[in-house]
Amino acid sequence: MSEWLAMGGHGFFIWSSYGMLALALVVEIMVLRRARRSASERARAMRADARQP
Amino acid sequence: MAAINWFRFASPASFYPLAGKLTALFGWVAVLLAVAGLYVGFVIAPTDAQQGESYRIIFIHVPAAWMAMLIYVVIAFWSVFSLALNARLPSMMAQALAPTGALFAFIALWTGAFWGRPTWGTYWVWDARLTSTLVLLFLYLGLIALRSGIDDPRRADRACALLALVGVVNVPIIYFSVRWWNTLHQGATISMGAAPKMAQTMLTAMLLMTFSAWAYAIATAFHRVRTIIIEREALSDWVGKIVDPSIPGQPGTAHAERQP
Repeated sequence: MSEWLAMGGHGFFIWSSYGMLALALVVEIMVLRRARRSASERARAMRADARQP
Repeated sequence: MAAINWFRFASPASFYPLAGKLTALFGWVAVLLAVAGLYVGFVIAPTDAQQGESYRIIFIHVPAAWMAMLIYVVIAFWSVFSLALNARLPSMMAQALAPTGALFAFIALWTGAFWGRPTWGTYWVWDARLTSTLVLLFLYLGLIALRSGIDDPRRADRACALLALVGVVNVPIIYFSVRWWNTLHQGATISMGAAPKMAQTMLTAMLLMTFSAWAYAIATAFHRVRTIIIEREALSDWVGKIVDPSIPGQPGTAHAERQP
């Protein structure tokens, strides 16, 4: 297993590349979900304001 | 055969539920293709005779670089539509694609650096292809910054569409840079009309990862466009039913745009 992870001496370069991709994807998906939640909350607040006489 | 009225989907209200279904579908397609691509890329594909194992970065580097270029062209395409038709949905699609394009441009540069170090002996050179790809990343960041800097959404739509169209000249520069200039970056591995210069299993893994990246970009763009629709159409009745299903018959005009 550790031999496979070493990738013939290139493990650092390979896992730095794949690791950054994984991190970027996780961050983007988290940001997407958070943006949806806050947009819905803002929309609800705007509609509540619009209902005020 | 029943005729489908495709223009129906040009309205955000009817596009919203469709985009939701497509997000889920393409999200799963992306996951399945990535699993298959990584399996072929790391388990089946052999070690490269010249580069050793470091070549396995190609399975994410090339798809990311292709997606970064393609997404910019798609943004330019939607920008033409938004300027020509003065329609809302094309602008929203362009806006929804920019962050994912920036992500792929960044990943192309990052993985390129970590592939360049063992292969060329350096993380970075001011080579034509690397530099023009860096310009692409800055164009994406410029689109996002310009959008957030203008309060009126319709003005932001037009400004971003213009920037997207001006910047699109950079894409052929990236693509042909390895032919036009003598670059450290290698020439095209895959090109139209020539046999690919790589082993079949390596090519299979790279194409699986490319299609996965396509599906991922489609899924994230559709997810983001729905958020943009909620933001910009917050006062319309149909968005009210989505964000607040408990209260029927709320005030608000149909298709009202958010005012700054």
